[in-house]
Amino acid sequence: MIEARGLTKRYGPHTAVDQLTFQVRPGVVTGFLGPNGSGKSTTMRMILGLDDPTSGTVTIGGYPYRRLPNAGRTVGALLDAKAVHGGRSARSHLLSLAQLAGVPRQRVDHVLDVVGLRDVARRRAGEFSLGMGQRLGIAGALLGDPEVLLFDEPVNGLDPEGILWVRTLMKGLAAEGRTVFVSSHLMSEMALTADHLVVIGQGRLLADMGVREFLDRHSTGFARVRTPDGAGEQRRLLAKVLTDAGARTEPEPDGALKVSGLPLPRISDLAHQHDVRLHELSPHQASLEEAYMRLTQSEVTYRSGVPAAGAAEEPWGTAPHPYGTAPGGFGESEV
Amino acid sequence: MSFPASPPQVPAQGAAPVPGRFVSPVPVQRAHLGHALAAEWTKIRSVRSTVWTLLLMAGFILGVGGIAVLYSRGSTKPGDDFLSLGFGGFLIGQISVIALGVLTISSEYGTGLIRTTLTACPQRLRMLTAKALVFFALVLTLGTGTIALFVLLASAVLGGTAGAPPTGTLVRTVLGGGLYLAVIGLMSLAVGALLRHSAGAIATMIGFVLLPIILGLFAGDRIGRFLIEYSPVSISAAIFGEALDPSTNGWQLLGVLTLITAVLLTAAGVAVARRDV
Repeated sequence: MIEARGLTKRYGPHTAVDQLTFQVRPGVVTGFLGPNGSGKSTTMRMILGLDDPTSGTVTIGGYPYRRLPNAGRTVGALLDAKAVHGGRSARSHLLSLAQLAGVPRQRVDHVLDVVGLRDVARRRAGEFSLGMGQRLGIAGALLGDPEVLLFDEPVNGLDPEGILWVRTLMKGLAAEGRTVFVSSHLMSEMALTADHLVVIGQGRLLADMGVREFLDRHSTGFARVRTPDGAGEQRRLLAKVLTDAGARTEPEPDGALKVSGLPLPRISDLAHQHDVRLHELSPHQASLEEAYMRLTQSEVTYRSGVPAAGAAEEPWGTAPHPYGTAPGGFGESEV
Repeated sequence: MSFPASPPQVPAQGAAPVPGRFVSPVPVQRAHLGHALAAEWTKIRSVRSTVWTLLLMAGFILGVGGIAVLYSRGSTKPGDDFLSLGFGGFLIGQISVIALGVLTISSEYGTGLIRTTLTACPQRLRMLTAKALVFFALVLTLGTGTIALFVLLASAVLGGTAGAPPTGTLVRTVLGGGLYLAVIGLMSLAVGALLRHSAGAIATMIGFVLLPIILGLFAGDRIGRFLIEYSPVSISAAIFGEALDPSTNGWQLLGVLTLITAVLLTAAGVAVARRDV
């Protein structure tokens, strides 16, 4: 269990991590999501006792990292795949780590097998590709057979086969009851790997919830409505009718209309009442990626004070949120 | 090459799935300084730079010293202190030790490996102590051995004419020389830890060795003399029997160098313990 309370890191006037409070529980894969530069790596370094927080605390199993009785056996981490001495063989690298943490040396060959680097174990790590470096880093994290695992962008540089392998590995580790905390800037990857999400933007907590809940809360369903081609008049009429009924409409480049805020049968009824023929009426759900983009972009917009173009018609003060997502899921209320 | 077939088996063989909290089947032993020493030994012997710098050190001491010995075959008189012929090679050879001392720690900062190291062992002073001890022991052993080898060679060539050097002189040159190399290397390690930058730390250390004697030439009488007398070049010379001031000997000067090194190592310890990495 990793527990952060009011975790804050400032570099001079710049706040990299701002009042983060969250828990990472054992038994599930927790995705740590945020755009590049949002403070993920700084947070990871604070969890691992490498950087001291400016204020707040973070503990693993109740201990600050540097006071853990047997850190090397309790926690394993992959921070940077390139963080190896290029002149040292993969095996020597892992052996020195095993010795340092008091891990039996048979574990070295074992983790080399797990990540599939046994055949190249005697080659110098400097000759490794980025993907092989990632696997060596993962091997290092697994060395102590730890209860808590942290991975910073583990799929960087991996081919599709490798990505699938990492995903299976993470889920397997969590299924054994371990705490698995994986950072990524890719929502699509996290959607497939993680059970729980901690989302940050500009160092602040934006969401801390299950993937399913995140999707439900942050992605609005919408309908795509298509009037016959060349009937611009009909489309304008339908848009007006739907807007009057409380929907939000948005024309799409191919002539369709994106409608949110009304159930499909009601859209159909309104079209029928106004004699508008429909060639398409289909339900859609915004992807997790879109939900994430919306969430993090809105955070950026909040900060810079410049409304996004699509939200210009709604003044900031009047809407609960400029993108019409449910309030309370993120933003000031939870920070 | 490809990944092993999934699903990957991560826990040690034979581990039964445990509901709830994960407990590793691998036996746990509490890590201590002994583990860190073993790890640092693995690290230092598994990179080529160690082999190269130490070979260079030995090459300079034996090569330059050997040439000096061969050239003085004709001019040696009974009672001559021929050990001083080793001074030139020793002076150049210590530059390799400085480079190795710096690299021992700065390469970890340069690659980011230090984060992995300090994740596996958050007791930062333990890590630094282990590095310092392993490095010190390695350089002391090889430094002393190389100088001893030089003395044996020089005695074989010149000993017949000059006679055997007194024991005190032998110990001062062989053991004192080895200690000097280990201490200046340790100082380099401390500077490497403080600056965290290989090139910068090596340049600083070379400046520390050479600058006092150059500045001493231009500084006033008292300060100039102090700088020259306590410069690493003069200490090296004193170890090889060429002390500037006959009233001081190599051991006293070595003591001063050790004191400076102790201060710098303490500073490095404080910095490593406190700084973000």
